[in-house]
Amino acid sequence: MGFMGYRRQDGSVGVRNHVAVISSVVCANGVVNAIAHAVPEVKAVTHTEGCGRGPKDVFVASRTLIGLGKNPNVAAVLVVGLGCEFIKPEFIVAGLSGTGKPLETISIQDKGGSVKTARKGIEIAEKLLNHAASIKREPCEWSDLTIGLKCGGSDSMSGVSANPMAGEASDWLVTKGGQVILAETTEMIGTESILAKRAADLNVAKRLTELIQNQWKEAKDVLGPMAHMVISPGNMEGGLSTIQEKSLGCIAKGGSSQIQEVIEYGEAPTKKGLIIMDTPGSDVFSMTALAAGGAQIILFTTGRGTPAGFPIVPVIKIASNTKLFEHMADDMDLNAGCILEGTSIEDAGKMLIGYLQKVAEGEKTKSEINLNDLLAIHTTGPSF
Amino acid sequence: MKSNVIRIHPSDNVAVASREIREREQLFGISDKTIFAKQDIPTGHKVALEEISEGHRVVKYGESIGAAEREIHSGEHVHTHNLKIEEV
Repeated sequence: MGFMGYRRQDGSVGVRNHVAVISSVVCANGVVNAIAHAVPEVKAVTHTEGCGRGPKDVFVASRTLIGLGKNPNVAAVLVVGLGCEFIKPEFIVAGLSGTGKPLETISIQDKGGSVKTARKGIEIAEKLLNHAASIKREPCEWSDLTIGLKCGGSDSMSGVSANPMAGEASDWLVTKGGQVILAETTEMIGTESILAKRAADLNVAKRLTELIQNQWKEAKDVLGPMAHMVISPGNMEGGLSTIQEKSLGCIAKGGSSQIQEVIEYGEAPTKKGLIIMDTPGSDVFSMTALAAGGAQIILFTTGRGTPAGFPIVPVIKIASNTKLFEHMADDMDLNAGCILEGTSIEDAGKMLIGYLQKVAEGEKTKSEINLNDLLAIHTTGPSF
Repeated sequence: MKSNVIRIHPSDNVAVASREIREREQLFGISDKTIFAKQDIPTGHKVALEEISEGHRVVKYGESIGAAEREIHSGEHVHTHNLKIEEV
């Protein structure tokens, strides 16, 4: 038994059926928002990139935007550009040509200004929504599912309750033949030898080790004497003694499966099973990369609480403690605090898997209900 | 009795206090042995589930999180005062 999902022409399976209106460049955000305001059923995908960056950042931003259009939760795409930008709508649409999805582009300079472009965009959006409405859910397999993992606003219990609970769901999905993407390289520092032992082959082990060691070097270069703060006095007060202990608590989200592949920011995995993606730990940058890599659902564990959601991907918020679950009830979906009160990690994992199925079949998460749609593309170079 | 510690992995030699544990309080949540806390253990902190000799691995999540800086007794608080932070 799998779940009822939206099967796309390229074989991928959506848990949502969104029409995405994507800015190719920051300059088009106002028009994209105007379209989404007039037609609230569409999802606005706005960001700060598209122009004025060096080649590496342009490459990553392009791949990320194409990845978001490819995300199986997206049924159809309208890309809005300005006209003189570096990343043009036509370029994004070319990257989506193999998906079989209806693809449309408009540019503000070409259409004669923002009002005319928005008007045309609204017309297109309505047409795309009609197309999406014709697609129905059908039986799909768990092997069609990719979940992305994220933790943010962690507390001393995140690594004890919420992350091991997410780890149970990760292991379950891997045994079902699905994909699990563990991200946040910063949170892996100190665990490279442990993760390398779990690598599927020597090449994966080598890439993993290099990735985490480079991240540590970069943290030292950029943060200087602050680098050791990756384990902070607050962490220590909470009971964490070493960087290895803190990182093990973070990677517990990924469960205990073999690591099949190491991929770049926003890149799509080519293998099934547990995948590691190189992303920053910062919440919104990381969620954007997971969605661009094809995750249809994100599991987000938190101890302090955050409202963060994502436009085209349901985010399941797991509270590490009951106090947070009750205090921020409007933002939290599940309570891992039950583990601290005697529920086994295994039973808590089953509860998560049950909820995951409901979300896969359409039940809205709190961040979807609250429209906490946050998106940001990671850059490493200056702007020009 | 309601549990007050969590052993995350079966091979762990430490457990985590799920609430504040007082000195001489019994640890509940680990089925196979009777252990009493040797000191107060704050919430989220670790307590040893067996004797850990100097230089031996402290194991949580089924993996080493560092080495015992001196002999650690069962029921003892495990933290930076007796657990050696390994260089990254």
